[in-house]
Amino acid sequence: MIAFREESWSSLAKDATGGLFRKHWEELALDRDKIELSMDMEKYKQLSDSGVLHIVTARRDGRLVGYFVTFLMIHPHYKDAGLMALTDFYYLLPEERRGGAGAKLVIAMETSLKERGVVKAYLSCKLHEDHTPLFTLLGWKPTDITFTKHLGPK
Amino acid sequence: MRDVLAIIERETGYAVTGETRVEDLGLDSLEYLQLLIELDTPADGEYETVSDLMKVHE
Repeated sequence: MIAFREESWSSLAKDATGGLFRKHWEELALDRDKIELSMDMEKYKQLSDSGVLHIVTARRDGRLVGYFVTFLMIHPHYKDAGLMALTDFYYLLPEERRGGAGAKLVIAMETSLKERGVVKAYLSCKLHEDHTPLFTLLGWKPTDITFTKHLGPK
Repeated sequence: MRDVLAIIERETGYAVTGETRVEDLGLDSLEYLQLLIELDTPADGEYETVSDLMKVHE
């Protein structure tokens, strides 16, 4: 059975660097021929140390199989509204996408954020990996469509 | 109790017992949530086996 829990960046980084982070990028990132994966581990450590980073992991018998990472912040548009969470990235190994594990990961993230006093969370998904029916069933409301365009020299 | 088994069998196509592991029902996350709704069972519970789902309705 998979266990979901809040963890530190150092713990996630130790177990995901070169493994899950790379698989995640290979499966879902766009423009991979133009933009290589190059996570700024020091930046993430700083964000973790300053309390901005919030991480929930999924582990099967201790082995990392997924994660859900958000940034916690007082949104500058809504400074009196309370803490908000902006999703940075999330992933679950393909072979673990059964038995509701994906839903459980989202629920675990929500529960953990509520315990931290977060009043609103933002979450997105790829159009080519659309989770709208799942998120809607979990009570999330689709509100925006994000557009991207590669402007770089490559 | 028998209703829970019948609903799971109908929704998944698997013949199940209390010992059947939920992970082995072949459900993706959306199907899993839909089953819990059908069973009127909270989504935030931990259900390792079908028996755990049945206990909610005891």
